[in-house]
Amino acid sequence: MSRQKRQPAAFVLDETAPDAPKTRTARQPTAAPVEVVEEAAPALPQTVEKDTAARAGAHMRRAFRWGRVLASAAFGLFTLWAGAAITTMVENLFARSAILGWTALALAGIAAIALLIITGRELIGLARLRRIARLHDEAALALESDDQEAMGKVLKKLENLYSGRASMRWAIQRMAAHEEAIMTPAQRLQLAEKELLAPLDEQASRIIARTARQVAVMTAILPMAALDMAAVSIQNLKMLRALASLYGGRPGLLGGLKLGGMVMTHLALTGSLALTDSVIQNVLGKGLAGRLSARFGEGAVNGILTARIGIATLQLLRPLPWRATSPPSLSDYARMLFAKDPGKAQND
Amino acid sequence: MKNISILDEAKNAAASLAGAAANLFNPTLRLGVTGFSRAGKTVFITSLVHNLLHGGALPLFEPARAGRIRRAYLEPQPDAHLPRFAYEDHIAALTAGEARHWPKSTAQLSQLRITVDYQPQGFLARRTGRNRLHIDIVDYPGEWLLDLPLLDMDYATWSDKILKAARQPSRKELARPWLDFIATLDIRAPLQEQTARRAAALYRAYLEACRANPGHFSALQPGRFLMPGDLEGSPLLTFCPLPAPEGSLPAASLWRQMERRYLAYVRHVARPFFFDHFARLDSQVVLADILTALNGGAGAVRDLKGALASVLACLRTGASSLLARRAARVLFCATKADLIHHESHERLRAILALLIEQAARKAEYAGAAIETTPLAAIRATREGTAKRNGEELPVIIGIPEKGEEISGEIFDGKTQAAIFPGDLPDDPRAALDGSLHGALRFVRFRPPLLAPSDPLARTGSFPHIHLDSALQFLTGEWFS
Repeated sequence: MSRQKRQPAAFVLDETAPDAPKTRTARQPTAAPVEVVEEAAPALPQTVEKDTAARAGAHMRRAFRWGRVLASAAFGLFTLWAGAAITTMVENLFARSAILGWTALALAGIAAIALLIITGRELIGLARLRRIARLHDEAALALESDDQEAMGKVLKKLENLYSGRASMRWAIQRMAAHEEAIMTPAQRLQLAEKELLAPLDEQASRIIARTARQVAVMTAILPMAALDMAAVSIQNLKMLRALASLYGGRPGLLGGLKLGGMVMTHLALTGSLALTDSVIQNVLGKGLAGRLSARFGEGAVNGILTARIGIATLQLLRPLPWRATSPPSLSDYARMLFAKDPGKAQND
Repeated sequence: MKNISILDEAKNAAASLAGAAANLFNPTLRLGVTGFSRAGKTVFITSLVHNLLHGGALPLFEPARAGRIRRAYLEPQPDAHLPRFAYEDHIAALTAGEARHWPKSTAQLSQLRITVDYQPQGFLARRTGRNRLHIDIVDYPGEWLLDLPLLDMDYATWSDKILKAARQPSRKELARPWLDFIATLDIRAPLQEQTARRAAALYRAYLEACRANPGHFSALQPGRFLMPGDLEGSPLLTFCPLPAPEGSLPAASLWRQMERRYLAYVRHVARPFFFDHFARLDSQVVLADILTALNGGAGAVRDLKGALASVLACLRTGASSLLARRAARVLFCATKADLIHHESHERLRAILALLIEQAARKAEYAGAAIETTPLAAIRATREGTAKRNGEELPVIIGIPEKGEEISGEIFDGKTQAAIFPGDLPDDPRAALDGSLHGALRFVRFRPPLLAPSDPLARTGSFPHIHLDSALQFLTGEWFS
C-alpha cells in the first residue's frame, strides 16, 4: 500500500456551540459537502474506448502539416495584398476628393468590424464544438478511472452548458436534488444521460429521420443527378447544424465545415460508410425498392446514408458517452426512414 | 440432491407452471431477503417498503425516476398461514422521535405483499392492461439458511462435518461439554429418551455458545436449534451428530434412532422450507454484514466467508423456465455501508466479492445475473472531512449508539461525533489474512431522526445508499 495506514479516530461534535466546531463538517445533512481527500492521481485507463479512439482520429489534424503552413502563408499574403490594395485605393480617393476618401475609409472600417465579429463568432462556434468534445472525453476518463470528483465536475459543466434553456431547467433541478445521494460515477453518468440527454437524443433522432426522409424523397423526384447531389448536400449540412445546435454546439460556417470533416473522418475510421454503401445498397438498392423503381432505390440508399451521417454526428456531438442508452444501430436506419413516427421508432 | 425425491421436484414443477400461468395476467414477483442475523434484513425490507410507499428519493430505480409509479400500497399476503412482516411495528420503532431505535431482528419467516400500480411501457402491456405488480417480500431468518446444505447430506456425512468443526482448536473449549458427553455414549445401545434429550441440549448449548462468540457462525446446524420458531420443544429437535459406527447397527440403536430423527428433521423442516419458500423465489437478496465481521477480526471474516459459501451452495439460481422457478437475479449486499465514507465503498464491495466468489461463479454459470453492492437501507450518517495533525480525514458524522467505543472514547447515545473508522484495504485479501488487526473500528449509529412529514404526502422517506440501484436490479425488468 502506497500510503501509510490511518488509525481510526473519533471527533466529538459539540452541538451546543455551533460556532466552534473542531471540524468543518458540523453542517446539516443536506448541506454536508461530499469532500474527497486527494489521493494519488488516478492512473490513466489502460483501455481506450472505441468511441474515444474514433474521436481521437477525428482530432488527428493536430499533427504538423505543410499544407497548413502553405494555407497560412497564402492567407497572410492575401491579407497583406488586400490591406495594401485598400490603403492605396483610399489614398487615391483622398487625392481626388476628401468626401470620397472619408466614405471609402468608413466603408473599409465597417467591413473590418464585420469581419472581426464574424471571425469571433466562428471561433466561438469552434470553441463550443471543442468544449463538447472535451466534455465527452473527460466523462469517459472519469468513468474509466472511477473518479467521483471528476465525474461531478463533468456533470456540473454539462449542467452549465444547458442551464440557459428553459426546457432543461426542470431536469437540471431534478439532477441537483440527487447531488447529495451517494452514487458511483457510472450511476451518476447514467442518471445524467436519462435526465438531461434522453430528451435531446429523442429530438436528435427526429431530426435525423426527418432529414433522411426528405433526402430520400428528393433523390427520387429530382430529375437531374447534379441537382439531387446539391440538394442532398444542403440537407445534410442543415442536419449537422441542427444537431449541433441541439446538443449545444451552435457552430458557424467554419464550425459546420469542421464538423462535416470530423463526421467524414469518423465514418471513414469506423468503416461504416463502406458498410452502408455495400450492404444497404445491395439489400435495398437492388432489392425490393430497386425493383419497384431505380429512382426509389437510390432514394432509399441516400436516405439511409443520411441517417448514418446523422448518427455519426450524434457520436461526435453528444457530450456524454452512451451508457444508459445505446446509440441508434444499423437496423434503426431503415426504421427511421420508413417509420410513421420516427421518435417512437427510435424508442421502442 | 440426496434428500429430495423426483415426486418433490414434480410437485414443484406443477406449482411453477401454475404460477407462470397466473403471472400472465397478474404478475407476482417473489423477492427473497436472506442473510445471517443482524445483517440488516429487517431494516432493508422496512426501508424498501417505506421508500416505495412514500415516494422516497430513488433516482436510480427507473420506474420511480421516470414517474411511472402511480401508487404503491400494502395488501394481504397470499400465504395466509405465514406470519406477516411487522412493517408497522418496525416503522414505529424507527420513527419514535428521541426514543427511536433499530427494529428487533427477525425470529422467523415472514412475508409482506406490496402492490405497485405503474404506467406500462411496452406495446403489448399497454394494450392488455398489465399495469400492476405484486411484490411478495419473503424474509427468512438467516440461521435457517444453514439447513439448506442438509438436503444434500446423509446423517453420517453431516455428523462427520460437524464433529470436525467442533474439534478445531478455536471451538474445542465451547464444544467440550457436549463432546465429553457423547464420548461416554454407546451408539450401539438402544436409545434412551433422556440421553437423547441431554445430548441434544448440550449440542444446542454448544451452538449457542458458538453464535455468542463472534466469528464462529459457520457449521451451526440445524438452524432450528438456534432459532426454533414454532418448533420449540418439539421431538424433531432431539438429536445431535454422533461419530459414524463401523459395521452395521440394529435399528433400535442410538445411532440409527438419531439418524431417523435427523432424516425426519430434513423431511419435515428443511425440505418444506426449501420447496415452499426458498425454491420459489424470482429474485434474491443476500445481505452480509462485513463491517461487523471486520470488527471481529480476520477469523470472523473467514467464518463469514465459510458460512456464506455453505449457504450459497444451496441457492437455486439461473434462468427461470416454465417448470422451474429460479432466482434469476441475485444481489449480494454488504450492508451498513453508511458506517464508512463513500470513498471506501468500492473496497467494501471488493471484499464482499471475494467472500462470495465461488457462489457467485456457480450462480453465474447457471445463468443467473449476479451483482454485488455496498448498501445502507437506512443511512444514519452524513459525510465530511476532519483535520487531524494537519492531515485531512474523510469522516462520517452521526450519533453513535450508547456504549459504542472508539480509541478510548465511549459515547452516550446523544452526542454527535465524526468518526474515521480506518482505511479499508486496497487488496480485499487483507481482510482475511489478519494484517488489519486494530486498524479498523466501525461504530454503530442510531437511526436518523426523520422529520415528521405530512402523513398523506407522498414525499420523504429514509435516506439510503444504493437502495435504488438494488431495487432496479432486483425488480426493474418486471416494470415493463
